[in-house]
Amino acid sequence: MSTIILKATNICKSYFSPAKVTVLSGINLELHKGEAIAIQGASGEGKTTLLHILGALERPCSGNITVNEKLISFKDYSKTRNSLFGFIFQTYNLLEDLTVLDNVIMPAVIARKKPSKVYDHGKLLLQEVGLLDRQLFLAKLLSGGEKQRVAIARSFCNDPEIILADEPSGNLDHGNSKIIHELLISFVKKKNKSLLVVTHDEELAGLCDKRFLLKEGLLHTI
Amino acid sequence: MFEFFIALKYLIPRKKALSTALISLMSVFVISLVVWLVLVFLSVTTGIEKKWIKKLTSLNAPLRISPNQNYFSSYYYLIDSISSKSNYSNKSIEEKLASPSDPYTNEIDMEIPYYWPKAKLKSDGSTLDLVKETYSILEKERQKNPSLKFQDFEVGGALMRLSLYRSAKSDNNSLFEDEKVSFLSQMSYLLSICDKNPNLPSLYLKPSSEDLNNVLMRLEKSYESIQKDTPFIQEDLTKNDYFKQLKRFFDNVNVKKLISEKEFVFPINLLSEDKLEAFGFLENGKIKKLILLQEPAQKYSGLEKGIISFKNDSFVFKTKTGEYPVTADFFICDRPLIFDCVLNEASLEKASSAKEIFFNVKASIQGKTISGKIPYAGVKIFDFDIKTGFKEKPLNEPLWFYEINNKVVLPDIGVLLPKSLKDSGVLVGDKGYFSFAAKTATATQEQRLMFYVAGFYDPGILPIGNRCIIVPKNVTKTLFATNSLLTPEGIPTNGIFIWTDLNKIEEMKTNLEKEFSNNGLAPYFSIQTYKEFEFSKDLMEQFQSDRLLFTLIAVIIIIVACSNIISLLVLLVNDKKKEIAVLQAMGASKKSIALIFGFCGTIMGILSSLIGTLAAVFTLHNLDALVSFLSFIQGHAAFNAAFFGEKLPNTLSLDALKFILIATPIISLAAGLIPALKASRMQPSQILRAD
Repeated sequence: MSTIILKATNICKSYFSPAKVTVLSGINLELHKGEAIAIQGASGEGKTTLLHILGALERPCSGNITVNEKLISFKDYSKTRNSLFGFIFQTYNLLEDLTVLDNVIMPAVIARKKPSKVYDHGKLLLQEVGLLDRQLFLAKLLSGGEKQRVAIARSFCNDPEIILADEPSGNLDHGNSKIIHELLISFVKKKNKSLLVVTHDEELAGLCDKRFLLKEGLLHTI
Repeated sequence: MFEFFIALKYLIPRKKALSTALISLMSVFVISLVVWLVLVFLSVTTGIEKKWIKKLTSLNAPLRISPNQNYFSSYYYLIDSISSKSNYSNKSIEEKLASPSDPYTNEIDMEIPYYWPKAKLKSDGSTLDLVKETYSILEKERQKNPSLKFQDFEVGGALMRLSLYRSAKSDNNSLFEDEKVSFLSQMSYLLSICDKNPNLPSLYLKPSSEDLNNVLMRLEKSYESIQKDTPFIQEDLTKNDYFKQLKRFFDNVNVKKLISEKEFVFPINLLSEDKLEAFGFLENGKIKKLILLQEPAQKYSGLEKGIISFKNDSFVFKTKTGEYPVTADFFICDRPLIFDCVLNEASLEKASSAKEIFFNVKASIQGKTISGKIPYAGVKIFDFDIKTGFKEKPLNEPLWFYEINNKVVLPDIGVLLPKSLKDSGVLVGDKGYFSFAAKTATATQEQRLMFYVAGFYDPGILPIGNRCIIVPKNVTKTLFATNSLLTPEGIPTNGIFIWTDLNKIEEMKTNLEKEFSNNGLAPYFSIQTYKEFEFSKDLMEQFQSDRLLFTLIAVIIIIVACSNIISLLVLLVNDKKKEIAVLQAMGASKKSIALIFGFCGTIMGILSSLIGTLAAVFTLHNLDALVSFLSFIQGHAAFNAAFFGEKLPNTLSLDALKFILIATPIISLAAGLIPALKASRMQPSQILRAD
């Protein structure tokens, strides 16, 4: 756990409309390879904003982010997102009219990888999350827990270094939440990936290597 | 390409997105409708334009070389007027081709006026023969392009005066006893027939049965009297000459059926021993009229029913009241009777008028066959086979326009009249004369040239078409010496027509201009394509403006129809906002997002174009039915045959198809760009947070 995979330095974020609101005021964070970090905090403290900034979905007002010691350039945000990050959302965000397999392989398709290889890899991931038998189902036909398992498989499709999860079990019951938590953590550990998860769930946070509390725009170690 | 895959998924109608589906279906429908409309309209108008251009270039060749003022004031042209070898008269192009390059002889001919230009010499010192040089250039062009044809033409102007003799029988109020005559006069252009013109046969209208009846009726009269001012005095042909004319007619027409005229007096010799029913009008115990019905009937407007039978070597009409002898005078048929017939060849030799030509006929009345020999009186030709094409010169030349090995021929003094005159009641076989003024030393004389109508042609919509008569070359030759160099409309009176593929015309013109310039001929001739002819220039320019205008209108309506795509895609972008954000989170670039919606527009454009094209092909295939329906709704012909032809063109225009298949997807893509840009500018972070 020595290699720093992601390093955020002095990340600030303010919103200016309709009035100036400072959300993040100098966040410093290091994520090591194979490490799982949980970020907790009250609603509206800026957890999702921080996650989006770290995942190149949003630009910070100031500060730098490096991945593998390489500064993220705003010019190729989409390429960075595609190759370095895997996203898991609270509301799953699957493409409802596509099949489960098509959803899983979508990041690879966007990266314009060879279809034959992509399909095999997608099926392997589905087998790992236990949904291979659902590969040809339309995503909209799955249950919440199943959808989130598909989302986890999708986030690993392009073999990214970092998985960013925003309340992955926020919409699930306790039983399903537990399954998702164990699946996510085991996946990360098995594949030696780094995980940054924003959650209110103490159980999930407890499974992570480090826990931070976001309060008044700053990260505090718990 | 995932962008295309996603675009396809978005366009497939789903229950959940009913409004989007409805709008997308509506958009496709509207664009298809516009594509259909534009394709059908452009195909029909292009077809009409092609038809008009074909007609235009069928009568006059698509390329024309005509001598200009420099030619007519050149030594080469003027020298003939003072040369004894040229009979002291100017020569036409055809005559120049057969004449020596310089006919002037110092010793015999008068001195050349000092103000005349000098003879143009070639580099080797010999006289430049403008016409022969032109022909040699054309001959070289023909070696390169074997389909090329060329021939000289002559145009003259004269007053045409036709005498129309018609039977007065059908007109009960006529003051004339059996024949009436009317006259038709018209100032006309006379165009010499170009037998090499490959398109002339396509303009020719074959003689109708009415034409043939007229030819046969007029055959016994001589042409000689036609140019006299006492038209009623017509001289009969001698029996021998009449027989020759009849042979010319019947060798080339096989009369298959005859039809009886109104009040046809039934020939008794056709009756057999079979009994026939008839109705008689009896007065004071005598038959006044006897009507033979073609089908048996119970009653006939108060007349007495009876039976015609053969008794004691004669025919009698037997009714309830008595028996009456049947004579031909009052024996008529109830309606025109159609006879199958064969010409009685032997009667031709003896005949001195049409009434003495006999046919062996056969017909059916009341289910019984009647047959016998009847004269060509009270009957008309109804069905026939006519010969208008021959492989070699026929022994007895037809009396109408014909072809020998695709080379057109006008028999003796026959002329081809424009179709409009046929509509005015002129028939093949009518005779007349051209009147023109010939200047003499002391006065202007009226001279007359006889002709007869040998057929009609369709000049299309040429402004001068209705006044253009195609005549044998000797007619224009006679006029040439007396007329000016240009007609009032500026049409050259002499020149060379060149026929070749319409698409190669401009290239051919450029080649010829270059050759003419290299050989010193350029100052003496103008080379014009059909687009520049004085009588068609305006029309061609109008075609070009129309085409531009139609294309512009087509583009505008396609834009209007495609603008539907904008509203559909804006709706789709709003609907798929979240999916766009997810795709972006997974790494889809702004370009990819824009491409998805660009594809949506293009796919709709292509799909609509295909549907519209199929509908257009189907419509064009059934255009006649559609036109009939439109005519039925309006109560009159939907399209005037004079402008649009007998049938609307129904071939899909490839140019229009190319235009549609390129313009529609491009405009659809452009319409999809606005929503595509909107989609690509979305901030994924904001949309994902809004969850």
